[in-house]
Amino acid sequence: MEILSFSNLIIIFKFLSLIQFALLGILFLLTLGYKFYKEYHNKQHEENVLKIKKLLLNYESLNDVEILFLKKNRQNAFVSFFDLEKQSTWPEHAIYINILTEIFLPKLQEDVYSHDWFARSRAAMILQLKNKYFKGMSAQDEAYLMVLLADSATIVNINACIAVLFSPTQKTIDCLIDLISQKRRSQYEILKAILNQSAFQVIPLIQNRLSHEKNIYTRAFCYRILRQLPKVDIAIESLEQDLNASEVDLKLASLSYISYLEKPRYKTYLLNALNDSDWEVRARCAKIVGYTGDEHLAKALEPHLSDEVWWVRYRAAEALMKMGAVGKDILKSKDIELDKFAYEISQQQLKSFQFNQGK
Amino acid sequence: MIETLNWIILSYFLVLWVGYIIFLTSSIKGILNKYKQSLNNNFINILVQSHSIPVTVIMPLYNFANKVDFAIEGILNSNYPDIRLIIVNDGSTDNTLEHLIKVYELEKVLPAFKNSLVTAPINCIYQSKKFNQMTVIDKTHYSVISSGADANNAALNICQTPLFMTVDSDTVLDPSAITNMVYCYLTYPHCIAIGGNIYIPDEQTSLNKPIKHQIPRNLNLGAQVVEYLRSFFYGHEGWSSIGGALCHSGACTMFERRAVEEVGGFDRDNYSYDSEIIMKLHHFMRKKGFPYSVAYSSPSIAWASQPDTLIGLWNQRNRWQRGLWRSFFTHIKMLFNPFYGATGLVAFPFYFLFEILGPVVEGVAYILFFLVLITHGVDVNLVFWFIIMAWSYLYLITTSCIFLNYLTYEQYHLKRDLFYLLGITFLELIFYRPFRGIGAVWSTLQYMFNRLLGKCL
Repeated sequence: MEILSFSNLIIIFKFLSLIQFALLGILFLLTLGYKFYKEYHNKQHEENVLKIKKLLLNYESLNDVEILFLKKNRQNAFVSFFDLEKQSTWPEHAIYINILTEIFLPKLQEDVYSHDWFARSRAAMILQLKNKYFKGMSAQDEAYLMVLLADSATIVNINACIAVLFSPTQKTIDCLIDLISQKRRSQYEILKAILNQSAFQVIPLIQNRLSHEKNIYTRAFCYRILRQLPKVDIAIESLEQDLNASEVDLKLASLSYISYLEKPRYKTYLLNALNDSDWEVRARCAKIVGYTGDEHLAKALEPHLSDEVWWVRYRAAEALMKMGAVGKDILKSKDIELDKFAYEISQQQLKSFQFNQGK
Repeated sequence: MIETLNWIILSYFLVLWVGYIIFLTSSIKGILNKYKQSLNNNFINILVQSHSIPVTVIMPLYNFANKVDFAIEGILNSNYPDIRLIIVNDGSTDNTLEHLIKVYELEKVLPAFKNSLVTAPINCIYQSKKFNQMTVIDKTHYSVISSGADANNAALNICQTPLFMTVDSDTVLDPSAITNMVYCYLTYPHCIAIGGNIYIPDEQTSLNKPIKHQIPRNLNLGAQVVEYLRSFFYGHEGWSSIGGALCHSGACTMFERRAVEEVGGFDRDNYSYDSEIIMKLHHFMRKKGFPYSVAYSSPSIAWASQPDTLIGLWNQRNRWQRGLWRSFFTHIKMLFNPFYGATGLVAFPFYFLFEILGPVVEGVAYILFFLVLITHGVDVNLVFWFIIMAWSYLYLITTSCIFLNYLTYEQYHLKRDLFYLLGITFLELIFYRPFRGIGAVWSTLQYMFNRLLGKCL
């Protein structure tokens, strides 16, 4: 307490005030300095962007100094290049390839391992363009893509994912599956949507992964992806086992997959699942039945319009709407006196259909 | 007794001084980095818009007819390509609904929604014929505590996009705000919430006129501008360095829908539901051991009107303070709990000590000062140097934020307004901070008293 006497306190206050005023002065000078730098930089930036566009448009006639300038400003050069490439300004692909090879690819490694996610995103986009214009993927590019797929920033993952799909390999697809199945739901959906657009050379790679994958969630994810890709009937050894799995997610994903392919005995599996004791299985199975559009299964859905769980009734009515005239007749036949629940859910679906037709 | 209290308060302010200087230092780097990135607008647009994720903007409305068009236009004019807008008319008693029906050509659609979050009953759902992406929910007013939270929950029941953002009806979004937020969402690992940067417009925004980028001439609003600049420029950014902010403004925050649904939506029994939802997300994610991040995007700018009268300000801060106390006691389990990692050990205690308790301690300090002045008299020299120290500290923090704003987003015409802002900072210590501090003490007592009576806040 002696140290904190009034006179000592005044000294402390004076000292702190002095430091703060000094910091304020330094801050003021720094602000002024940065302001001048910013104005100079912005002016330079605008001039550079214009110059870069001109240089790229006349790429064939550039000298070494101008190429060096493009290399030094590769962020701006890349944005302009990407714009010009999208607008198909150049008549020949050879120019794209030259620019890629001479300006961007020499610094690719630096971009891939950069701390800045801007640079890493750019690296992923450069690899997209490279995979688009050069057939096949080198081992080095594959390694780069694995690094970018493992990146913590989703924006880098998205661009790496697109690059992978230009020329998929077993390694990159495995890495992609690992990445997506570990993401949060919304990011998972974004990446899954990109993977869904892939060409069917991906199918055997996913099948191969399924043949040795032990993780049930990853297996379920693989089935969901296959369900979105073109119908290619392939043999999957453990399919039977997955259809009888105790894990609901895996069971339904494999069920959805065989229904999509209309494999033998799929109806038996669907009918069994429709009568499962778990309401979630019944609801999701009703949805799968709707996807099949199989009129013969419509009768099996009818009792589920009276299910004790609202979601099951909703999914059953929704599925019946997708089954054409047979399904609609069943919905129309529901009587409020006989079964209020079935009637209400049927009417909701029918009215919603009429409304959408009206629009 | 008073002497001991004085020493406690003095030590408290010294710790606060150190904490805020650390915040400021870490935020300068963050803000300048984000600003540098935002200069590459073209690249951000290429990155975000080529694979745009649909985003729903939720706007609760209560008795806001004729004043809402500018806020709606702000959203519809966004440069983000995939936006859906859900406006919730929370049982307005004026002609808000009629105005919306007329201006946006609304027609009734069948009510189809999940009932995953409990809300007051929904009367009807409308779809705009003029703007396909616009839906209006007409619901019964939830008047118990927080109608805004109830309206947000109602909108969440029909929201289908993976991301949604909450925007107040008196808030106008910058055209690039949503793009910048989505960009931020995609750059942070496992991101579940992103806060935006709030500026206070001049008084004219509420009259449905374009925003003037100038500091309001109303002293009360001017003081809030200074407070918001500090809060958003070093507060929110600084929080990011210690595990993410525990509070983002409901006027402009983006969320991952599934995460909010998992925690049970917004708390209808809390006035500060915007802060509560962020704490709830931290609590839930830490408890479950899920990886997550809560980010702050300074380039995502929104202009939100604030109360321009002292009574309005008193009521607003009273609600906030009581809401914050409720949130604190709801999540008290996190306090100094190593199980909750950096949030439990650093962010939550810091938030409690300096954000919730800060204004209260400040208020108590002012009251004590006057008590000592009356009963014992004070050493004039000591008080003089204390005030000089406090002023220079306030100037240091505020000026750095003003300069940061000047160097980066330059939303106010600072050359003209600089001296005005510095003048407000000078006056802040005399009129605004005592007012806010005493208000916080009153709100705290009111909260404690209400709790004793069995009320929720």
